[in-house]
Amino acid sequence: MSEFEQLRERVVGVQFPGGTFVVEEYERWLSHDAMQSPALPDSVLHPVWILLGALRGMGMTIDELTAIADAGAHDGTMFGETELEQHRPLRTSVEYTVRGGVTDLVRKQSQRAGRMDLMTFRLELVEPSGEVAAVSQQTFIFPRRHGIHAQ
Amino acid sequence: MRSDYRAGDLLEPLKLVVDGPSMKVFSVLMRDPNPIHFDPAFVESLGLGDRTVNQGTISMAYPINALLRLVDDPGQLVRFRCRFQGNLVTGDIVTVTGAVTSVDDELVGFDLWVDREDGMRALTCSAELRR
Repeated sequence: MSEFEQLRERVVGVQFPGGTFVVEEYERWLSHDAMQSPALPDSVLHPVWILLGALRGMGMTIDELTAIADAGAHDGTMFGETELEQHRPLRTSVEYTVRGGVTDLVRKQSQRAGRMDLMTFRLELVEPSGEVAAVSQQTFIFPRRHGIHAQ
Repeated sequence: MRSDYRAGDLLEPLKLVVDGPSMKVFSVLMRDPNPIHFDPAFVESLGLGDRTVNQGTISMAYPINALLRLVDDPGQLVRFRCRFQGNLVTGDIVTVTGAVTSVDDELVGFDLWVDREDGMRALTCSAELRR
């Protein structure tokens, strides 16, 4: 089994610790202003909060997340793709539970950027009722110019 | 939301200026310690010019803003995807353009793009709005 295949076997299926998050009204105001959002109904959060909330509540830092794939800040990790599903808009002052983990790891070769690994993780944002309000799926890109770094 | 969308219809372009102080707000809100978002001297030390780099989360808000202008209820945005292709920095003037790709009884599909004035593409996106 190759080094990459071993990494893939170890990484895909890893579940994050998870946790909860609440967005306060002042955070809604400040973030909507920063995003140059059009006016939204009272307490409704801009859909970008699906990603922001998922990152807040996943129970680990970005550094810890990238370390799962034996990558770190020195590796030039990049945001690749984002997918948001909105079943219902998120709202301020509601406690959402975040659950999920790594769903895929693939290796690609680019002429410009060289070898890279793409790690996808999927996080569900669950309302207090138990219903899934939204889903965030992200792909991080780890350049592997110098191979996989053991952390 | 308009009821007469057809595949090929173009969205009214949305022009925005990338704002440096907004990046500082996001750094605090997201507890994001990366100085490329708030310290021009650090950006310069990396050889990336002297203007701070926009968070991807702010950049992806721009095409979503273009979609939110079209709906009465923000919950009509059911799916949004985007691929990051280039950085935006403080002071960049960007334009969001888009086109309708599909229409059925329930959903309207869109492709959207975020481009800098010099033609560099920062984001390529797609989305579905519930009718």
